[in-house]
Amino acid sequence: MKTEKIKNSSWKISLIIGMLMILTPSCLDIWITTQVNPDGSLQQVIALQGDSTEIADVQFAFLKEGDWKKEWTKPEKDKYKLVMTKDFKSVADLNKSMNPADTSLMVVRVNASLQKKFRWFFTRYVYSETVRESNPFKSLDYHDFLTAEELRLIALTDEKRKTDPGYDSIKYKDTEKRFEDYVFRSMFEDFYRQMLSVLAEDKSLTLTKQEMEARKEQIFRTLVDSVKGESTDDLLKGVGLIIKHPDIQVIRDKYVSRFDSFQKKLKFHEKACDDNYKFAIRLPGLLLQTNSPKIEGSQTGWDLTYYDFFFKDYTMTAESRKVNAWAFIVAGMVLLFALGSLITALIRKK
Amino acid sequence: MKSNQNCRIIGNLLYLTDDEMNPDEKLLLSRHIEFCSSCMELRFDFLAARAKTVQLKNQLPECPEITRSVMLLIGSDAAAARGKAGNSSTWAKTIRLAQLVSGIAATFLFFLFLSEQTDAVRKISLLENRIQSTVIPADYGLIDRITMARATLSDRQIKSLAERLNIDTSVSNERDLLLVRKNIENRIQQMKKNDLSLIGLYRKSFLLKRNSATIKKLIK
Repeated sequence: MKTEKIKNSSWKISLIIGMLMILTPSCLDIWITTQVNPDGSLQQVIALQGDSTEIADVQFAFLKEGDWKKEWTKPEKDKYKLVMTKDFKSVADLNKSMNPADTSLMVVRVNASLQKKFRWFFTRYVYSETVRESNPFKSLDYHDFLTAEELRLIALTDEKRKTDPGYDSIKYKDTEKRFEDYVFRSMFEDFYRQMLSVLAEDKSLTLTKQEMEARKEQIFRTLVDSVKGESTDDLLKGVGLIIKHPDIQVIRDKYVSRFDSFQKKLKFHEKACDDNYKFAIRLPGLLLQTNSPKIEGSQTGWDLTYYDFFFKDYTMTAESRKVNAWAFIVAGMVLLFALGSLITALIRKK
Repeated sequence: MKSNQNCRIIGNLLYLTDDEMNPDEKLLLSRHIEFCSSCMELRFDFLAARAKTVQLKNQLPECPEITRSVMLLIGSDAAAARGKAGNSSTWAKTIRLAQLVSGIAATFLFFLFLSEQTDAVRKISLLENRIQSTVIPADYGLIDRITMARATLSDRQIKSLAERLNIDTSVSNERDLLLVRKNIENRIQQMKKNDLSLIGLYRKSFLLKRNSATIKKLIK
């Protein structure tokens, strides 16, 4: 769905992605496995499989860290696999890698939490990982475009969607259009607001907000339908086709760098949207509860797409318990003493 | 005879001094010893011994140290006797308290274990209802295995299970064996959806996935 919808749009970003989709299979498979140890420490193993350039460009902060153990293999022709391993003393350390404090970084963020509850005979582990909402363009409210049910269908893979009881191929075409509309309008809104902020700051520029607002929809349509480039200059040039005002050239000459954050968001969205994310959590002891659709022993698994966590946070939880052997020994001794006392008292009474 | 009776009557008066008796007792005693020579003799011996004792007492110097030592000795013996009696009662109280505490602790721990197991079995049942089947790792301990109620089924239980599910178990090769196992699992999944009360018994059958040896015993 996502590939076809992107190919059909004339917006340059989607065209480039579409071309890339045709020419090279560029989506990455990302496996993130977290092993929780009984003492609260964790080990994370991340495997990235795909084109080597795509691997180098994966939208996670941990790739830039130097203390991960890395191993490269080539499982198939033209496909590389990078396996990264790291031990963390605590969940707080893990979060530094997976959800860095610098909020300006455009990366997929995963926030983990671990609760250890001592219950004498058993220790309970409640672990959760939340993939934070990844939509970089939040200027518009997606509720104005899509319902909750439509959001659910969008997040499914093509295969699962077609077998879903809520899927109607005719209605879904309309859903796809509205989804595209939302994504492009959100992107445009971000770009447009940046333009307005430049105009407001530089008093020497005479182009007014009212003039821009009067042609806003035309600008949007031009950028979506006619502009082929994706760079800031290309987009501003497209704006210039509708707003024939010398200030547009001034902005192109002096203020291109003001649109860097917009470009970062665009790049993040392009890179992250087609990757497959497979999460697995392994807890110590016996698994009791999880919201995972599949489990193997004490390992739980989730297969996600970018759109599972595009609109809102996606939380994966699991709970397990581990036997405290020493507690059973102590309880046994207490029980023996109690029984012995009871038997002695009964004998004395007789 | 009469004098013997009178001797018995005045008995202890013989050993009292004049200031220790009242006038009637004095008269009684004096009248008796006039006529009773043995009592008179006893009386005079007593009075002589008493006089001597008093004389000696007056002659001996005062010895407060001896008095104090003796009194201390008397006092410590009494205290030790009291202490000994006290220690043994403290020890008995401690034992009784320990018995009471251990009884309460044992009861509390028993109910704690029971509640933990109940909660775990409930959660695992809900999990198994939602997710088809789980693979049992080899490193699960005894307590965990009991919790999951995954005891090995006996031949009789498998036969009974297969009969209830109308499954033919007279297979002769590995492939058919796997098909039988898959068949049982599928039927159980269907039944679980229809009747949750069957979970307790049928959950055990998931072990069939891992324990083909049990089914192989059915092959004749």
